[in-house]
Parts: sequence; C-alpha cells; structure tokens
Amino acid sequence: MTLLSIENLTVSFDTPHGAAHAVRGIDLAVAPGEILGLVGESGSGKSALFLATLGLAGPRARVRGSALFDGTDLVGLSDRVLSRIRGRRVSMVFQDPASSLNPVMTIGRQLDEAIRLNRQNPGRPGSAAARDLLAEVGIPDPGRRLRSYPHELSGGQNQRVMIAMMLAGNPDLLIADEPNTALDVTVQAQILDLLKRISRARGMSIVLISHDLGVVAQICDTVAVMYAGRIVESGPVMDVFDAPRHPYTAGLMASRPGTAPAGRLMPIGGVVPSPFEQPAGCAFAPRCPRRRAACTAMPPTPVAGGHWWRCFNPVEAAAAA
Amino acid sequence: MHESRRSILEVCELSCRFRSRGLPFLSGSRDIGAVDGVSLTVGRGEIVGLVGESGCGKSTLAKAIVGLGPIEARAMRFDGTDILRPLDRRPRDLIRRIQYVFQDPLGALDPRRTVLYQVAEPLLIHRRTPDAERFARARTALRDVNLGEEIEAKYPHELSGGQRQRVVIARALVLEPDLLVCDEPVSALDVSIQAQVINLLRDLRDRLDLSILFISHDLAVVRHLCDRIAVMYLGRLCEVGPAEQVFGDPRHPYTKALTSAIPPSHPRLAKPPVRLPGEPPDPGDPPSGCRFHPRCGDREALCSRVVPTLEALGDGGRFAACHVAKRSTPAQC
Amino acid sequence: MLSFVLRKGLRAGLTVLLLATFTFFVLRTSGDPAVLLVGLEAGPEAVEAFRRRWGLDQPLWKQYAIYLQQLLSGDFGQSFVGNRPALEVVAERLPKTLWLMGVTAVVTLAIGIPLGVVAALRRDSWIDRLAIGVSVAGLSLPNFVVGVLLILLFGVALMLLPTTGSETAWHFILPVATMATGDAAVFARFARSAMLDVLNQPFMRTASAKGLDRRRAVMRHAVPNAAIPLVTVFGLYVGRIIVGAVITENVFAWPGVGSLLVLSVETRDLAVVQTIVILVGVTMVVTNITIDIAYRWLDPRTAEERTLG
Repeated sequence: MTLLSIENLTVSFDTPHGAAHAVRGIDLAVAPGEILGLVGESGSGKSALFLATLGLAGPRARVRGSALFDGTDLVGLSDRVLSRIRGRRVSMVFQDPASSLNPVMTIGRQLDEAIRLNRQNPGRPGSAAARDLLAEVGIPDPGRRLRSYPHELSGGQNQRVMIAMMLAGNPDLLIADEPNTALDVTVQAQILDLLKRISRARGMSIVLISHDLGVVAQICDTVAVMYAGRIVESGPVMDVFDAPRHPYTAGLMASRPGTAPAGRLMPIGGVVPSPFEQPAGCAFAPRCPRRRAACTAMPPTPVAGGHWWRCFNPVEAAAAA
Repeated sequence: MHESRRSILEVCELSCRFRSRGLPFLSGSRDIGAVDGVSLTVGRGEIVGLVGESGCGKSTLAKAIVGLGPIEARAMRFDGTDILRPLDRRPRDLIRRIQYVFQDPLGALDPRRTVLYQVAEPLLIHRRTPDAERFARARTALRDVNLGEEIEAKYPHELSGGQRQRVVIARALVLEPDLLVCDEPVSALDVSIQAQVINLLRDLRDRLDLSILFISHDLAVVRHLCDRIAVMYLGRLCEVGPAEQVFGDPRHPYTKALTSAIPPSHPRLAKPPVRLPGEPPDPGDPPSGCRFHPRCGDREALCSRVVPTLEALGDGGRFAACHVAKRSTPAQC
Repeated sequence: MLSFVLRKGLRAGLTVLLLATFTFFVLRTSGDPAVLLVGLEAGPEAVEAFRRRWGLDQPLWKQYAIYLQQLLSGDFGQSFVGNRPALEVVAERLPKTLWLMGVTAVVTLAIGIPLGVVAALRRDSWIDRLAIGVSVAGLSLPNFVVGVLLILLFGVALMLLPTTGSETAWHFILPVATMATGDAAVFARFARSAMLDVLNQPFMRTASAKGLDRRRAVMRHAVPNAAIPLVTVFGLYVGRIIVGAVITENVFAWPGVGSLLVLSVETRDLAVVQTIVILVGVTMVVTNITIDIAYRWLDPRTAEERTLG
C-alpha cells in the first residue's frame, strides 16, 4: 500500500541559458506512517522534487511524469486545486524557520489562518485549537506565545510553530525540507525527536529531506539517496547503512566524519554535473572509483521493493559490511 | 599526546564585552559579556576544537585572538610574546604568524582577481618576498592545499565550494603562519567536499607542524579532526579535554547534552538525545552562578549561587566547570 | 511610547523654529520690500513711512524678537499687499491647493501602486516591460515640461480641456496629469521592487504550503510586507508633491497657495511668504511623525528595536 507514488517524474527550470534539469526521472513510493529520508548534496534535486510536485517551485518549473497521491495525480493540477491539497493532505516544513514565518503577523494569526483554511469544522474556537497545536509541538506557555511575533522567538521555537502550522489540517504527509539544518545542535536533535513522535502519534508519513546521513540514521525507516536528479539507491535504513551498494552512497558514508571508519576521511573527487547537461550514462560515473566501460550507458532501473541500487558495478555487500 | 609540546597560544581570563546602547536618560546602557573569563591554550602542532551553539561567544573569542574586537584579559601570549592588543597595534610579523579562515569562502575572495594573484597578494602586503619569488611561493601554497596549476588563472566563481575554501586556506598558508584560526571553515560545504578540507587541515598540521584553532558547531567534524576540545556555553568554558575523552565520557551536563545530539553513524546506534529544557538565556542577562544551571538536570542549590571554576578532573588533562562533576571525581593529591 | 512621542515632538518644534528663523533672515537680507512696493518714484518719505509702519526701520534682531513673539501667540503677521492678516490670505488659497494635491495623490497612488504590483506578479511579461518603460519616461520628464506639453496638446492643439483656472472638474485633469505622471512612475518602480523582494521571501512559500492559493497568499502576506518600504517612499513623496504643486499651479494659473507663494516672493510680501514656509515645514514634520508611527504599526520589528534602543 502506498500513500504517494511518484513515477518517472522530471523537473526542469526555464532559464535564459536553456532548461536546467533538477530532477531527471524519479520513482519513489511513500507508505502510510512511514518516515522516508531523502538524502543528497546541494544540486541533487532533492528539494526541487517536492516543491515542484506541490506547485511551490515558481512559474519557471516544468514538471512531467506522475505523482499519485491517494489516487490523485498531482502533476498538472491548477494552483487552485493544489492549494486545497496543500496544508490539508500534504504539508511542508522548510529550512530557515525565522524567514519562513510572516514577520508582521503574530504567531496566533498565522496559526489561525492555517486552522480556518484547512478545517471545515474547527471544533473548538480558533485560539483554543491554536493553543492545542502549540502544546502538541512542545511550546511552553502557548497562550502567551500566540501574541508573539516570529522575531521574538528562538529559531527552534519558530520551527516548532512552523510544524504546528503545518499540522493544522491533519495532513497525511509532511515534507520536511532540511528542517533542522539552520538550528543549533541540541535543538536539531529535539526537532527530529518531535517529528518522529508526531509521525508515530498521528500515523502521518514524513519525507525528511536532508544532506546529512546521520539525521536519516536518527529517525528514518527508509532512505533514498539522490545524485544529480536521480535516486541511485534506496531501501530500509538498516540494509542501506549495513551494506551501501551504490558507490556514491558508500562514498558519502566514507566522507562523513562519524559514519566514516576512524582515520582518514575519503572525499569524493570531482564535481556534480551541470544541470544544463544531460549525461547519457550514469551521472556519477565521472567521479566513480568503480567506473567501467558499461557506465557510459544508463544503468537499468531495478525492480522496486526492498533494497535496490542503480549501478553496473555495485560495491560488494560483504566488502561494505 | 601533545601535552609535552610547548604551547604557542596562551589565553588567560579573556573577556569581551559589547556595550548595548539604551535610550539616553531613560535606560542605562548595559554591558553584554559575549566572552567571560576564558582561559585556553593551543600547543604547537595541536588542533584544538572550540564548540558551542550560536551566541556562545566562540566566534567572538576567535576574533579576539586574531586581534579584532574589544578585549580585556589577564594575559594573552603568542609564542611567548604579549599579544594583548588590537590588530593595528600588533607587529607586522605577529599578524603574519596568526592567520584567520572564515566560514564563507566566496565572500572572502575578490571576485575580479585570479586565484594566483589572490594567493600571492598577502606576500605583497607583508613585503616578505622579492617580486620574482612571489608567484612561485603562491604556487607552492596552492600545491600544499592540493590544487593544481589549472586553477591558477581562474576566478572564484569558476571554482567549486571546496576549491574556494582551499584557496582561502592557501592564501593564509602563503605567509607561513604558526597558528590558523578557522571559524566554521567547512559549514558551508557539502559533505563529500568537507572531507577534502578536513583531511587537508590534518595533513598541514602533520607536515608543517601548524597549530589550528578550529571553531565549529558540527561535533562530528570536531571529534574527527581535533586533538583537544573546549566546550563553550554562554560566554564561558564548561569543559576542556582530549577529544576522545570529552566525547566518549563527557563530564559537564551541557557537554553530555551536546554529545548526545550528534547524529548517529548507524541507525542501530540511534538513541534519544538528552533533552535540554528551555532556551539558551539572553547573553545580556546571564543567570547567576553557573550559567547553565536553569537548564541543568543535575543542578543543586549551590549551582545558582556560586560560579564554578574550570578545575582539573583527574590528571588526564581534563577540566570541567561544574560543582557536581568536580565532586564525583576522586580527589587527587 | 511616551518618550517616543516626547522626543519626536521636541525635535519637530526645533525644526519648525529653525525653518522660521532661516526664512526670516534670508527674506530680510535679500531685498527691500519698501522700495519694491512703494516704488522708487514715490520719494524717500513715502518709503520711510512704509518702513516705519511695518516696523522695518527697527534693527534686525529686534524685528526677529517681535516676529517670534507674535508667532508664539499665533499671529503670523500682516500682508503688506493685502493689508490684512497673512494667515487669512494663505487660508483663503489653501482649499484649492489641498484639493489639487489630494486628487493628485489619490490618482498617483491608484495608478502607481497597482501598476507596480501587477508588474511584479507578472515579472518579465509585456505588462512588466510596459510598466518599466512608462516609469522611465515618467521619471525623466520634469513636471513643467509635461505640463507645457499637455497644454500644447490638449489645450492648444485639440482644444479639449481648459488650461487655466480651477472652476470645474475638467480643470483638474491637466494639472493632476502633469503632477501624477512622474510620481506614479516612481511609485510603480518602488512597489514593483518591494513586491518582488517580498514574493521571494520564504514565508510566501509557507503561505502557499499551508493551503492559500496564489491570489490570497499575495493579498494576505505579500501586500502588508511590501507596504512597509512604500511608507518611506510616501514620506518623501509629500515633499515632492508640495514642490510639484508650486510649479504646476504657476503653469496652469491655479489660484492656490503655490501661485500665491511665487507672487508673494515677487512682491516681497514677507509675512505671507513666511506663513507659507512655516505651513510647509509643519506639514513635513507632521508627515514624518505620522510615518514613524505607521512604521511601528506596520512592522513590529522596528517597534521592538526602538523601545529596546
């Protein structure tokens, strides 16, 4: 059973220099209640994927393929129709909480707006519902906070407010785009903890977009690793962390202090391909230590399900373990 | 491992205060103690990590060492020389020997100059090298940071993030400094590229016996790179010690919370982080006694009254500023 | 808040005082009204009698002291020309000018701001390019050139609209068009850049993510934020519109304070000129205070900064 099923999705942006390809064909499924970690470095297309699918990537984004959410294809829907799905069925939390909240509106008014937009029957009067939401995300003294402006709160508290606002419509899926990157270390851990708790309590699925494998290891059930607009490896976190098979995944782990074995880090040489190019074969091949002649062709998309990777010459499971 | 080495930098009870200006006549101006009585040493060839969360004063401390910003201190010595004075009153040779690397490499480079020119420029300013030799020296510095000749004629925007940061480091190295103060040098970089810079810093230490003060909020990076760690909270040091020991067996409750927040290397190692109640207080109005006590799970009556000093725990070069940790350590003679 | 009002009030009073002093001395030292008004051919006795009558024979510092004393008691002095209180002369002309400025301001804002907003929302479309083109043209043409061109076109060549006087609504069209073109262009430019700035802010993405469609996201979240920088522009605009009115009233023979000012300077009607200058000064000071208050009301962040200092 899947909640969201993305098939062969591509996203490109019209620019004066031609089309910039952010997402080059992605298949991805999110199950109900699951926390999926989408990992990639800057330019991998991990944010563009969901922003474009939800119609938040601006007028220059071109989306093709399909994204079936609970039976409805989100690709090609008008802004008006999508706006009724956003907030109610699928919500999104962003990286920088301070600038993601309207600076001239109180927290209370911003929460009320989300509640009134997304609940046919608010049940309790607006401010009480807003207080409940703030309490759920662990904000002390929520009644007083409703009258505060975002600049009066810390980054961590603003991110909690943001999460509360995105929970107002009882969504089935929350897209969290680097929700803790801009925050302090101890606060980061708390926000992750909060997301996991909410997901379990509400049975809500989360897609956690991050550049940090450690964050994925902390709370995710499954992981998908993106490189240059494609998913190169995906599977249950235990399997992928035990035995990364794609050389890029293995490279990411070897270059990260903490996941890398003690001693020297192994950086990945070379640079990410330009979004204006369309490499014929595996996009990682130019940087890949395990490159072969075959890699100039596109590795086949494996049959989805379980742990899969897209590579002609994967890292041996035993060696990786 | 590095205790035997002579320290190159000694900071003794350094404080930095900023005056917050109030309205005239209506409210008095108040001092914000960004750094309060911090003592720290860096040994020759040692990499010391300075960690803490935003607003704890770690960048202010770094700038004070380089000579930027207002400071008071009992003493600050570099290789035996007093450096308790601002940058413009330090001898030129001293300025050369302490170099600073910023977080944002693109902002630290001139967009309209080539890489080679920018790396050679400090030599021109410090007039250390005859003109003929200058570019040869710059090339050597670029080689030291593993950048090839093909990069020399390029402009900053043509480089990747990791290459830029290495150019910035090369520009600091060309002056043959003894101490490199790096403020979040890898935070703006992608993981796979961070590794290049981290490896580079370590190689430079090994090869050139360079001392490094490495400031970061990324604890995994600090743990990997540094020999010793100093943990700051709200302007004060709360724990100092060898990296593996501080991370493996943190003594100060704040260090415990901080280390528990490091993302795990494997999902099997994931554990819930130590929760810190509340938010870091306003540095302009710090709590009495131990500055951490309002958020501390182990606090006692004493903690809100008496400021704990940084005291040795055992003889392993470990220090903590905590009444509780001090008592739980067996007394030494 | 009290200290804020107190400080602003003190500063405003000082500004007006300095302005009054400056005008007083500049006017007294730059020409002799007695000679001008009585005429050289009238003979020295007549000139001397005029001087004595209006106190112009006193030393300058004494004239100044008397002037200040009168000013503080609300007496703006007598018009030499009309031989009645200067305030009365000015007040008579004021409604015409206020009407002209009011209608112009409404037209300027009603054209400029929506044009800028639409241009920002449809960035790089034909409407955006047109708005930029029109605003460059509007900015680069001075008021009096526009005025003369409009008179030539609509008044002289086409004979569609009246070019002098203020009797009917038709009379408004050319003067208002003269003053509004350039300033509407300024507002369009500022509104466009303020909107573009706000539309790129992450909180606009949040507004969409929580379920607002684009129209409502723009109205509820972008417009209030974009209004903040426009308030500053409006403050500067009040100064511009006063200058614009003086020029335009003279071009179109509009019987308002602007044409009175030019007339009074020509005839050295000191009290009237001073009254007008003080009136303008007070207007500017009041505008500035209003804008400060509007700022604090629109943007909670500035209120915080000011109270904390």
